[in-house]
Order: sequence, then structure tokens, then C-alpha cells
Amino acid sequence: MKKIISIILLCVMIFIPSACDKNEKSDINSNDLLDFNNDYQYYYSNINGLNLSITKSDFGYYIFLQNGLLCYIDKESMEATPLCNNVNCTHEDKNTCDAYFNTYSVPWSSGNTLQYNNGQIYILVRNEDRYGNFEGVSLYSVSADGSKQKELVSFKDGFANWIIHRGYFYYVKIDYSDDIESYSVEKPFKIYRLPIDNLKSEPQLVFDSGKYCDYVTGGVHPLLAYENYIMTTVSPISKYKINDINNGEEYVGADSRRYFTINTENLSVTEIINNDGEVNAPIFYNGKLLYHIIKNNKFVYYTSELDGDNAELVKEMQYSDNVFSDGINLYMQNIDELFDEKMKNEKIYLLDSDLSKSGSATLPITKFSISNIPQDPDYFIFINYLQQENLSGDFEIRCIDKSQLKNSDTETIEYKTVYSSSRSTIDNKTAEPDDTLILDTEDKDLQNVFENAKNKCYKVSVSYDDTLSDKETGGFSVKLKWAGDEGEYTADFQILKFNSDKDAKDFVKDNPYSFVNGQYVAFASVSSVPVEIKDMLESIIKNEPIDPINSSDFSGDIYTFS
Amino acid sequence: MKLIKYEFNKLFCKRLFIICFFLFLAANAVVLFYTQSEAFETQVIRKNLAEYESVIDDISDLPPEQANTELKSMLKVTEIALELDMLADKTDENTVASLEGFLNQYKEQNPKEYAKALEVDLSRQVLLDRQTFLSELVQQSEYIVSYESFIGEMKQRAQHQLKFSIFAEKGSFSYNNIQQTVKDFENMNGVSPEIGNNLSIENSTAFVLTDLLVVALVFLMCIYLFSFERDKGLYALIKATQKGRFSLIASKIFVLIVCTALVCVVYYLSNVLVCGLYSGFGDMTRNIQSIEMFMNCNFRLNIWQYIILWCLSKAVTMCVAATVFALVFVLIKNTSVVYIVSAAVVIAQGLMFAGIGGKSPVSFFKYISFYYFLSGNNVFGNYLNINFFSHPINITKIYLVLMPLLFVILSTVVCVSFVKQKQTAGKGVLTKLIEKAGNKFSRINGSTSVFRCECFKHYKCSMAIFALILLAFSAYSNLKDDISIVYVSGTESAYSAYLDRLEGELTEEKESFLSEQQAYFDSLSEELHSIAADTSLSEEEKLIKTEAISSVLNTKGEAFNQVMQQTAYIKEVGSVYGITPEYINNIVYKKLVEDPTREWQYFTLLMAVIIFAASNVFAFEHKKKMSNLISCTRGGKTRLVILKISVAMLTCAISYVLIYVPYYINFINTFGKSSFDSPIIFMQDFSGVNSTITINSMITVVALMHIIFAATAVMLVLMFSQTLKNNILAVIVSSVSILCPCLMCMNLPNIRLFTVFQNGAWVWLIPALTMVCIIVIVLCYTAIFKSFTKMKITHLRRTENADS
Repeated sequence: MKKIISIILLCVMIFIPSACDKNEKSDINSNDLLDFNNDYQYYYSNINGLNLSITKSDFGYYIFLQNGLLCYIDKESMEATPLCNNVNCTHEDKNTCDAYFNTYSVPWSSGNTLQYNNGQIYILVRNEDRYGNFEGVSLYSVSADGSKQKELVSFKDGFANWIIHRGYFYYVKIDYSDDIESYSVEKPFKIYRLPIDNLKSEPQLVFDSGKYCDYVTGGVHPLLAYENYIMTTVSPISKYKINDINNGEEYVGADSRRYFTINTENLSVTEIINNDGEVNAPIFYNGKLLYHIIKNNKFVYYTSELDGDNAELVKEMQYSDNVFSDGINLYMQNIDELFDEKMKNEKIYLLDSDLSKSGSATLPITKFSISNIPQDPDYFIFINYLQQENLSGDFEIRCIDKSQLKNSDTETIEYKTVYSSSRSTIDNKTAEPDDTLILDTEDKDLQNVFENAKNKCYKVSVSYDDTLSDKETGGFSVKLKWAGDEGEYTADFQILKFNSDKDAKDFVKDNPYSFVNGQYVAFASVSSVPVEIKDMLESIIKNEPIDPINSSDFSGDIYTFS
Repeated sequence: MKLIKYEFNKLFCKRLFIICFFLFLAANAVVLFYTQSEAFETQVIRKNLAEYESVIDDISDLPPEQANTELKSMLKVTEIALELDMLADKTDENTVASLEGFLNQYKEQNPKEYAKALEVDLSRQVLLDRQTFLSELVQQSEYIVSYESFIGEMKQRAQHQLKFSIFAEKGSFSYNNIQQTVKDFENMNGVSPEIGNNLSIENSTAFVLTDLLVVALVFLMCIYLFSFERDKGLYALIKATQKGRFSLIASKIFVLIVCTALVCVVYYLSNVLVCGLYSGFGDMTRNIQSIEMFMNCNFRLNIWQYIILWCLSKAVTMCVAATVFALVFVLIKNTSVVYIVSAAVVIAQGLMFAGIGGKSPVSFFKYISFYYFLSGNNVFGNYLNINFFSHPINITKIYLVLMPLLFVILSTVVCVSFVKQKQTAGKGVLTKLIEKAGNKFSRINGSTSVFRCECFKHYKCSMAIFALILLAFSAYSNLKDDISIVYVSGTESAYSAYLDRLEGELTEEKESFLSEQQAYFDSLSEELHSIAADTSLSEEEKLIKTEAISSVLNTKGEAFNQVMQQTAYIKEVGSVYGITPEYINNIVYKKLVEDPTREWQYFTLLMAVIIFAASNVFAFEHKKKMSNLISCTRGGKTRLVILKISVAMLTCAISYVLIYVPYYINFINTFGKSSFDSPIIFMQDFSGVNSTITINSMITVVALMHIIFAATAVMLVLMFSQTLKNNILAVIVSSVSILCPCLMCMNLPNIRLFTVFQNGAWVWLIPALTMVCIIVIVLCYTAIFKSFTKMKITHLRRTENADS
């Protein structure tokens, strides 16, 4: 008996890990298949044509802001900076700052804006004459630190979309329709490619949508790539006749989308077809395609080879359950749920490889920010505009560590602000004490107060207003910043030392906007200050300076002098 | 010493040089004055200079933050007072309610300023002016407030940047650049910018025309010093100086440098003077960093110290440029080739400066150029490190090393070349071969007509034929150029598609087509609403169904809206002028009549060809010393003058055709000419033309005006040629008086013939310009005629035979 049990246990010990391995294999980080240095980083766009202006590199991420400013997020420190190595640049002037690019596509909309490939960042730039008239596009390569920019090739026309994948530059060329009686806005589009090391050679035609339909709807032209396949979609449209509608015929509208994959080695084109229904929203996962069909008001998910062969049923899910993957994790969002007005933030579900829910999380970002775009396996990166109606106003770049998702269930996830436009310079604290700053005074006590404030990294200055009182014996000033109703305020607060406590108190009587401690007075000159400013000033004159508090950490409470 | 004195004499005895010096100085001052007076802010400040400076005086003693608050408060008071003033005028209820709303907001948020505003009793214009100059001061004070932290936090910013791996790689340019920048700005700690009147320094240091005029004067000096004696064949005499040729060339270079420096000092300081007199000098003892455009200057200088340094840098750069020109003059013996090579050097530098990107791997060639050193305040007023094999080298240091080095090297080469080489021009090998071949096939067969003779001199000897050949190539290129429109949006394409159908008169058929289209788009909008209201559809389904409709509405719908707006406009115009409304494709015809650069580019090219070709017409014989021969033609000098002018006009006509006509032919081939007979007023941009003149007529009038201008230019150049009796001088003077204004006008959108039509001024301006041109032509002809016919013929004196 014991022997049988031992054998059974042994078998279990041998086979279960293998089974786990198998599962793990199916859960295997398919991101291993993605060489983000050479392959297109598909997880920053979706098959609906939306592109996030983010690209991943060996050491961090590059992200375009909507005003054309290119920033770099360091993966180690998770902090961001504009891609400009000029310390004397304020990054506000588009003409002088190296980090600004006039991209052809508007960042964070349809159309690729940048891509990291083999140590360089590729950016498609719009060329204009001095009057702002369009003159074509140019592909630039930018070094990782932004110090070198090289124009590789120019084109007279613009592109609907472009990617770089495994040594080739692929682009979508469109012509607008000149048939005003048809419903379409564009003629069929074409995809061409050029070798990335020979961009001036003759382009090779890779895909012609005209072979599959006469007209297409306009707008977005998704172009994704994965392993040895390019994927695109065609939205054919019937010829819409005005007479038909006048004659009472029903509006036909767009036919459903068709999805095509193109083998990059032999350029064979295959349409993704499922005999059970129309294919919708295919994604790449685990070396295969994952898509759904709509059947009986349900989303039925299938997996297939990258060319659409060998479709296998995976799972039936609820209507509007949209699945997407970053190569390691599977996520799901229900669009109808998001449309619910009670839902304030972005909700996301985590799925196992068999598409069953394994968890959920509410992300601290506005709804519809994700839009089926998984981003890379490590972080969600978003731009949050502090005033939603003002996209040129202050903003923050926020990162959400995806590792938090595995440990949460309907709890709000934390984010880190890696860059804030309203804090482009460091606030009330210096990075380190400035040893060159010495208060020229024989008063050791005053010197001591000054040194202590300086060593605590306050922004002290040896100059101060010595006209405030003729009874003061010395002083210095401290620069502090805070945000008010009409913007940011910066003030030089005067720290004065008087002959005696009485003189100090007399000064305060005449100048009530002051704090006093013994012979020391901190003169504010304004009727109210944030409580944190008060605390800092009082601590300085007490000679027990607290750590400087940055204005972004203020509580919002105000101290008003009586 | 005597040589130097004589070289100075050669220059200062030349009337042309003196005239050009003062003429250019005056022109520089006038244009600078004009550009300042066109700047709105400068105008306002000038008008209110006393008050502006009084405000500056009041707040200059305050700490920067306090000054900023004070200025903002003053600006707020002015803005509130303006709103109160506007309220007094308005009667419309909605406007009054809106203004009262704003005022109540001000009352709540800025009670002190509101109270002060109630006491303000100034006219609206004064308040508007105050608002303008106070806004400028607020901007200044905000910059000053931020400057201290900009400098004070530089180390922190550097440390922050070095936390990023891409900048922290030791030995990389980024890493080195960050470290170097912090080091270079260390001495700026403690610099306190002050508020003040910055207009004079801003305007004077950014003015570009001065550089062009100084370069022209330097080139003129080089002609007089190096080319004049060669052309007159005097080098054989002057080179036999007591101490050999070296002292001669050394004195020439010395004189060139001294005069260049003098010209620079006078011209650039005059800029400061003109600007200061116009808009005030301000306190020049302030730090240069008080001015925002010098934020990145890392030198501790006062404003007046900076001006001196700026002047010096201009002078040094011009002196080195002068040695470059001197080198070209000394190495190349043929004066025409000298001009071509000099132009090529200038153009090549310009192309490199404009064409190479700032971060390009070859950006070295962009920044190490005369253009960069002369532009604005690049040498001492800005901070830039060039990437030299990953080492940041500051441009100022490069300048301080390169300029003296270049000067020494160039001067040495000039001297050696002058001493060692023959300085007279001979025939080139190619020319000899061509002449030899030509002599085999052509024979002189008796006399030739004067006209043919003039053509030979003009086209062959003066090389006008080469200019025409180049123009022919350019014409071919223009003819074959693809000028079809690249549509950047579906809306543009759809609009064009609509106009292809509608172009021409508005007929009933077209009206019914528009109605059908309107019904079509209305139905699409209704469809959108019904889909949105359909509760049986899920959101995703709604999205899919509406996507296509929205796409059409956003492209073709927008295009149709534009067409409807155009329809309303042309109907209104039609009813006003009593003509049938007509559609014109705005996108296509804007290309023809509103291209801002083509008009001036073509005209400038035509002027350049005219100057090149016509400047030698009268100077040729003076140069070849054939004046005595040609003056005794059959029919007299009058006939000769007329024939010479005719030859120049013929070249002008051929050039005009080669430059202008190909584009029009290409346009007609590409787009057709269906709207050529439509009144231009049907284009909304020409709503001010106040006439039913057709596009065809307008183009004809513009073409005629161009021809008249060209003819006037020809006469002017011929007059210079006859008066100066020197080809190169005529080219110089013509370039400055005709070409430079053309180049300047390229940037002024209001100075175009088509703009004149747009604002309706063409009715009086075209005839006026024509009259002026005719007068100038007549005057030039009279001057040429009198000068040519009254030319003294010098007879050779013969000594009588002693025996007889």
C-alpha cells in the first residue's frame, strides 16, 4: 500500500509540474517573442488605429506630449525629463528647445508618431514653409539622448500610418476620394515598405486594399506587426447614392471590417476569416491571434494562427467584453460598463489564459483612457491634464506599476507622477547646500542661524532688505514658493536680527505681518500665507529649521495674520 | 607709410565709395526707423515714453517680486478702467450684461484695483496704450523674477538631469555638456537683472539689413583696392615698389581692415543711436541679462559694455570676411569670375546655415560660418556648445580662436599669392580652344551691322548668353514641375471635387445639385441622431454604425459647408455688381494668385539676370578702351544709344518669358483655365478689389506691371553702367539699389501686387506706379543720352616729322 501511494505521489510529482509547465508555457511571456529593439511595439496601439505616443527603449520610455515635446522616462528612477540636454533651457520655446518636434500625426491620436528601433528613436516630422503650408514629411532618427538628429528621407505626401518592424519601414499611402457622390472619403489605400538601411530605394508594394474593395471609410489606418506578420484592417463601404436615399431606400452605411495579415517574408496576404461569424478586434497573444465573433448577443473568443488558420474556440464571454494583452497579461474591459455614468474611473479585469477572470482593479485615470491598448508589461503611462478642458494647460505624466494589479481586487491602484509641467523647477528646497554662500557678519549667532537654514537646503540669500528698520543688526532672506488663486507666488522672506527682544517686538507691532522669536523676526509682508510657510519661517527663527516643504505638498490651509 | 597713405587715397578719392557709404548709412537708418515704426508695441511705447519711463523709475527700487505684484496691480486697474469705459458706450443688453458680469467679478476678486479704477479718468486710447506698455513691463518683471531661480537652480537641474541614464553616460556629449554648462554659468550667481527700457538694444542688435550693406561696402572696397588697378593694367607699374610687392599688398590689406572696422563701428553704432533716439536708451548700466533675449548670456556685462563687445565682434567678423574676399580677388584674375565665385561662396554658406539642422551630425558647418557669427547676438549674447567628438566646445571660444587664426592664415595666403603670382588676366585654355575652333568656321565677310555688333558684345563677350541658357534650363524645369495639389485632408479633396463639378456660373442645375447635397447631409445628421437615440443598440454597436457617418460629415460635410458659404458669398457679390455668380476653386487659384514667395522669387531672379546682363552694355567699351572707335558710327551716337538699349531690352524680354511663362503654361496644363474669365471678386480673399476685373485681366495687368518694372530696372542699370563706366561697380550699385530691396520685400506680405488688388488700392496705385516708371525711364534715357553723346573723344597726338 505504501509502495502504491509512493508511486502515485511520485507520478503526481513528475506530471503535475509538467502540466504546470504546459500551463506556464501557454502563460509564457509571449513578450519573449517581442524584441522591442527590432520589432514593432504593438502594445502601444490597437487595431482600431489609435496610437499612444510612447515607445520603450532599453533603459526607459520616450513619450510625446500633445504640444510636441518629447520626454524621457527613466525606468530605474521612474522620473521624466524633456529630451533636451541643455541645462540652460526652460523647454518653453519650441524654436530653441531640442526636445520639440513638429510631428506629422498629432500625438495620442491615430497614426504613429515615434518608434524606438536599434538604439535610435524614429520620428516622422511634418515639413512646413514659413507660412505653415504643408510641404511633405521627413523621417528623422534621433539618438537616445536627443543630442543628434538626422533626416533620413523625405516624402512629398503624408502617410496615414507607419511602423518599423524587423528592418523595414512600412507606411500606408492614401488618396482622398474625388467622387462626391459616393459615400466614401478615400480611395483604397496601399502599404509600402522600404529597408531601414536604404530608405532611398524604390518602395515595395506590400498590400493593396483595392483588391478587396472599391472604397474605404476614411480616418484611421491601423498597422500592427508581430513576428513575421503585418496586420491591417479594411473598412469597405458601399457606394452611396443620393438618389437612393431620396427614393426612400435605407441607408446602407459601412460594411463590417475585414482583417488581413501579410507575411513579411513572402508577402502573401491572408484574410482572417471565421466560418462561424465576422472576426472582430484581433489581438496578438502567445504567438497567436485572439479575436471574437458576435453570436447570440455574446462575444465568442477564438484563437488561431497568425494567418488565421486553425481557429479554436476559447471561451464565450459577455457582450462588450473586450480582451487585450501586453504579451504577458491578459486584460478585459466591458465597454458598456464603462459607459455607465456611475463608473467614474477606468475599471479593468485581469484574465487567466483561459479568459476567466482572475481579478480586477480600478485605475486612477479617466474612463476610456486605456481603449484596449495594453501598453508594455511593466507600466501604464498616461498624461493627465489638470483641467480637462484645457489640453495646453498644466499636466502630469503618471505611471501605474502593473505589478500592483496582481494584488488588487476592485481597489484603486496607486500611481506615481513622473513629471509635472507646473513643477518644472524644483521648489523650496535646493539639492544640496551651497557651500559658496557665506554670511558676512561678526555675529556668530546670526551666522549659526543662517548656516543651519542653509544646511537644511533652504534657498537662502545673503542679501536682504536692510531698510525695514534701523534697529536691526543683520539678516538674510529665504525664498519660498507657494500656489495661490492666481497662480504661483514666490517671495523673499526677510530674516532680521534686532538688538534686543523689545526692539524685535516693537518692529512686529509696526509690521504685523511678521513672526517673532526672541531677537529674530521673519517678515512676511503679506497678510496671509500657507500654514507650511509659517511653520518653515518660525522654525528658521527658532534656529531649529524643519525640512523645506515643497509647495505641491502643501495642505491648502492658510494662516492669516491678525 | 606713404603706400598706406596712397591706398587710403585710392579709396577715399572715389566718389562712388563716399556716396555709397553715406547713401547706405542713410538707407539703413531709414529702414530701421520704418521697421520700428511698424512694430505696434514700439510705437505705443514711443508715444508714451515719459509715462513708460516714469513707471520704470517708480518700481525699479522695489524687489523683483514686489515690482511684479505692483505692475500686475497697475495692469489690472487699467483693464478694469477699460471695461468701465466700454460699459459707458454700450447699449446692447447682452453686451452690457456681459460687461457688468466681468466687472462684478473684478469687484469681488480685485477690490483694491476696482476702487482705483473707478477714480481713473483717462481716455480710452490712453488706457489702451497703458495696457500695452504695462503688459510689456509685466512680462519683463516675470522674466526677472524667474531669472534668479533659473540661475540659482541650474546646479539642481543638472543633478536632476544626470540622474537619467541617457544623460549620465560618462564621456558622452550630453554628460559633458551638462557639466560644462553648469560651470560656465557659475559666475552668473548674484547677477540681478533690473527692469528697464530694452527696446533700443533689442531692435538695434536684431536688425539684419546692416550686415548686408556692410558686406556690400566691403566688397566695393575690395574692388577698388584689388581689382581696379588690374582692370586698368596698372599692376605692371605699381608692383615695382621700392621694397617689392609685399609692402604693397600689406598696405592694401591694412587699409582694407581699417576701413572695414571703421564702417562697422559707424554703421552698428548708428543702429543703436537710431533706436535709442526713437524709443529711448533706457538705463544702460543694467546687467545685460536684464533683457530676456540675453537670458542665456553667461558674461557679466552691463548693457553698454555688451554693445561695445557686440560692435567689436561684428567688426572682427567683417574684417575676416574682407580677407576672404581679398583672397578671392587676388587668386582669381578675371573680374567676372571673381563676382561669380564670391556669390557662390556667400550662397553656399547661406545654404549650409539655413539647410543644416541644429542637431545634425554636420551641424559644425552650420555654426562655424559667417552667417551664424553675424546673425543677431550669437557670439556673446547666447550660449551654445558645439558637439566636437563628444566634447562640448563653446561657440564663443571657437570664435575667439578661429577669427584671429583665419585672419592670420588668410592674410598670409593673400600676401604670398600677390607676391608670387602674376596679377593680370589672361585667356583661359578653354577660351583659346573655342576661339581657335570658331576661327576655322567663321570668316569676316565685310562690315557688320551695329545691331549685330552690339548683340555680339552683349551675348558673347559679356556672357549674357550663359545667363539665358541657365534660365532656359530653369524654364524647362518649371514647365515639367509637378504642381498638382497634395491634399492634406479629405475636406480639401472633397472641396476640390465639389468645385470640379460646380466651377463656372451658378446655374439652376447646380442649385438643384446643392439642394440635393444639403438634403443628403441633413439625412446623415438625422441618421446620427436616430442611432444615438436608439436604445436597442449597445454603445459599441452605436459606435460602429456612427463611425462611417461621422467620417463623412467631418470631411465631405465640412467641404460642403465651405461650398455653401462660398455660394452665399458669390450670390451676394453677384447681386451687388449685377453679374451672374460664378464659382472659383479657391484652393487651386490661391496657388496662382496668392503664392507669397513665387511672386518675389521670380521678380528677384529677373532683376538679378538684368543686372548681370545689362551692367556691361555701356561699360564694355570703356573697359576695353574702345570708346573712341564706337562713337563714330554712321547715324551718330543717338542711334548707338538706342541700339544698345534695345539689345538690353531684348535680353530683358527673353528673360521675362523664360522666367514667368513656363509656370503659367504648367498651371493651365495641370488645372485648366475654366475660371480665367471669372471676376476675381468671386474669390473671398479679393472681396476688396471693388471691381469685376477677371482673373485673366488681373494676371495680364500684373504681368504688364512686371514688364514695366523690369524695363525701368534695365534703364537704371544702363544708366549706372554709363555713369560709372565700370561693369563691376555697376553690378554692385544695382544689386544694392534693386536686389536688396527685393530680398527684403520677400518677407513683407503687404508689399505685393496681388495684395494691392486684394485691398482695392490697385485702381490708383497701378497707374501711379506706371507713371513713376515712365518718368524714371525717361530720366534714365536722358541721362544716358547726354552722358554718351557728350563724351569727349581723345585724339592721339602725333608728333610731326622733324624733317617736315
